[in-house]
Formats: sequence, C-alpha cells, structure tokens
Amino acid sequence: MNGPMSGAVITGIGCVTPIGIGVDSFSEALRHGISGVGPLTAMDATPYRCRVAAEVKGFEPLDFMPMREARSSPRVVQFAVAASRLALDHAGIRRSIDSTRTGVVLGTSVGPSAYNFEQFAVFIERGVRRIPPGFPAQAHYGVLASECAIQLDLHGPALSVSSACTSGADAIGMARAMILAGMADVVIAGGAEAPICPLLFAAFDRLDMMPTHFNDDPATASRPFAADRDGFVLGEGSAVFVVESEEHARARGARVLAVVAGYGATCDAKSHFSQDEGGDDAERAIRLALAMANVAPARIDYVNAHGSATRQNDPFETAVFRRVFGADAPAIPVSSSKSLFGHLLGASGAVEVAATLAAMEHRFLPPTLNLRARDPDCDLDYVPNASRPGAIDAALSTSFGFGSRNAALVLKRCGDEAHG
Amino acid sequence: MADPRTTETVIRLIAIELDIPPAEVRKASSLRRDLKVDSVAAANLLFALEEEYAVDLDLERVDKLDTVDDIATLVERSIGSKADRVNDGSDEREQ
Repeated sequence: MNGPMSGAVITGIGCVTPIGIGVDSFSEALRHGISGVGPLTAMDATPYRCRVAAEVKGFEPLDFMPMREARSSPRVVQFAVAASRLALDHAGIRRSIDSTRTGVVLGTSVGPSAYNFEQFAVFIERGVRRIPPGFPAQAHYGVLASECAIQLDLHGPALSVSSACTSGADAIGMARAMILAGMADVVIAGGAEAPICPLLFAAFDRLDMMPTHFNDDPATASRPFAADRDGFVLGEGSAVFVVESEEHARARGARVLAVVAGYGATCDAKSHFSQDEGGDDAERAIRLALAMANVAPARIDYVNAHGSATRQNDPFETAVFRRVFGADAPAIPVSSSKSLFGHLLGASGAVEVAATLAAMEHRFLPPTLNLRARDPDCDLDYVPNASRPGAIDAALSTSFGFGSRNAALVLKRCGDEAHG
Repeated sequence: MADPRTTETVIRLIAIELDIPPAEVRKASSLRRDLKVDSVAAANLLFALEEEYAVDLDLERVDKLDTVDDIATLVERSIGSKADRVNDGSDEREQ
C-alpha cells in the first residue's frame, strides 16, 4: 500500500466472460480489442431475427466445483462460484480470512430464470417425477450468494441483489457500504448472469433491442455510440471482486487494485424500461458518486459507460456526461466495453468495473469497437476501435437498467494524487 | 444380489451426491448409518438413478432400503418390471 486510502478497497478480480476466463486473459483481450461476440450457438438460432450472442467459451464447471454442484446448479450459479474462486485466488486470501467476517453480495438481473424455464419445460413434457428434488433450492435469486457462501465456506451476510442492469454496480456499492458500516471485513461482490435461453432471447428479440443487421459478421454487431448501432448483444458471464476494508487489506499486506471511492444510485421512477429523457436522476447518481468519492468531475480520467448500443441509451448517456463534465467532456475518454463482450445485464456493471480496473492497472484506455459511423448526438471521445495508452487515477463507471434505475461507481487508483 | 455393473453405477452416483471418493462406498455400506445419507441426499440420489435408468423407482420401497446393494437390487427389479410392461404393451408412456 503506497498512500492514503479511504474505506473499501478492491484486492482481487475474478472474471468468467465472453472475452476470457481469468483476469489476465480478460485484460489482454480488452487491451487488444478482441471481440467475444459470435454466432448464437447455445440454442437453435433460427427462430430469431438476432442470431448473435456473447457466450462464455471453454467454461468447465468441474474446474471450480465438485461434480454434485456442477450437475445440479444453474449456469449462472456456476459462473458466480467460479468468478468468486478466481477473485479469492487473485487476492491471495483463499483460506487465511476470518470467514465469519466475510460476506457475499452478488448482483443478477434474471438470476436462475433460464434454468427455471428449462425445468418448467421438463415438467410440462415429462411430469412431476422429473423435477429434480434440488430444484427449489436452486430456483431463487438468492442462490447466487448462498451457493458461493456454501462452496467457499463464508459465514457473513450472503445477499443477492437484483436491480436489473444496475445489479452488478449496486452489489459493489452495497459491499462498500457494508464494509464502511462494519458489517464485514471482506465482501465477495460482483455480478453474474446467464440469460441466453429461448424465452428471454425471444423477449429481447421481440422488443427489437438486439442487433439484426450483423448476423453474418457477429464481431461487428455491438456498436455502441455509432450511428449504425442496432441494439445490444446479449452476453453471459460473471465478474466478482474481493472488496475489503482498508485496514484489513493493510494488515495482511494485500496488493490494492483500487478504492471503491463513491457510489450513487437513483431511480427515475417513471418507465418500466428506459431512463427519463431529461436525465436528471441519471446525472444525480453520477454526482452522488463523485461527491461521495470527493472527486471533482474534472478529475475523472476515464469513463466506462453503460453504452448499451441501443438507439435510446447512447445519445442519452452522452448528454448526461456533457451535463456532468461540462466543458471538460470532450477531453475525457469514454468507452463502452459492451462493444467487446456484449450486455451481461445484471453482471454488466461488475464486468465493466473489471475492465476499468484492468485499464487502471495496465495503463491503457479500453476501446469502443465498431465505431466508424459517427452519430452527431454521440460526440465525445469514445476511444474508437482500438485501445490506446493512458493513465487512469480516477474513473467513473455507469450502469442503467430496466425500471429506470441509475447507478454510478467512482474508482480511484491507490497511492497517487487521486486520493485526497 | 445385484449385477456388479448396477452396483458400480449406484456407487458412482452416491459418491457424486455425497462428494466422496467412490472407494468409500461399498456394496454393504448402510446409507444412513455408514454414509449419513439424509433425506435431501436420498431424494437427489433417487432422482439421479431414475434419470440414469429411465425408470420410476417405488418411493414406498426406497424408504425401507438400507444398503447400497438393496438400492442396486431395487433398480434392477424396476428395470425388469419396466421391460415386462413394455413387452406386454401395458406401459404406453414408454412406447
């Protein structure tokens, strides 16, 4: 630890994502702009107009859990457990912590819904006797946190947070709050999602929220901030962090990756779907996070945007950034990592924090891929098409979600002038 | 006594359910006394066997079983009676 810190710090990252499993491969793909979007292969793609997805490839549950859990748990839980184990390994504290002072807070939007739909289909087709006895224990959203607690032997609070596409950011914000409130010394926090299933895919397809024009060239399908953007690419995966108190991290000589300096959450309380066009509550969430972090807007070096690539979001978000950053806005790099790994719904905020931390550590600005056709209403520096070198001392990550929710996190690099 | 192949499958599924090495499960092991199989584990094991052999096991009789060999024997009887039903055309669901 190199300098003053405040409160809750991140000391470990675990990633199970469409662009890599493990933080090293994730960081490399991010830096090199390697897309994780491909043809939809997890199910029959023919009924849908959109036939691309950001799937996690090469994931082997048995690498992270016993056969019993690998056979019985939903994919979203497997992602969460795997990312949690990777985070603890990365933080180097697998066995040495007081498990009674270690909690779990995991965000998810649709949780085990895909698994539940699958079991419902089995029930309809094959009857009562074919429903697994363990189904009730796996069918609820709380299973994400409890299964991680069980498998990692953690005895503090075990909470699942479900707040649509802000879930992952909210979970990290809640972890910070719990640590500052003295509820835990360590919180395993992040998000997980496995939404690629026929019913949800059909729903988003019908809502016209996913791209339909790039089925033949999937890697170009996610086009945040571009004039020819066509919706979000549905993604899956998980990112989980070891968040711990500054004192706890200091006492065990941990390598601190960043301070979770500020968190703001608001709700427009108007639409079931998107943000209110005025953007007042979205702006307020960002300003709350900045104020909590004691960081002036002009000191933000990088923004990892929600950048969902829907028609509505990207100009809306750009306008909000212009209001927050004022005359400084054009000089602040903003990128959407969804251009690489799609939209992981409730895990997106967490995976985007992982992207931000990777950029902070390795001193580069992550790209927004597929940004060639410029939209006059999206006129900031989105780090188009390729990453570039850049030091980040203080970063903002934004998430917006169904129910008109807004969440913002401010992350500060440890041991530099960003503190204070 | 059950066919060794059936016993081996039962032992494999018990080991998975209890997350223990198969070597710790023997033909004569008592499910409750030796292996500490509780009601949830028993239900999961039953389900796994039904999926493995595509049969419905008689829940009333399962409660009365004690050893691994008892389970394997019940599985074989269920497979046999299912085959009989299929052969005489009485089990339409399986056809």
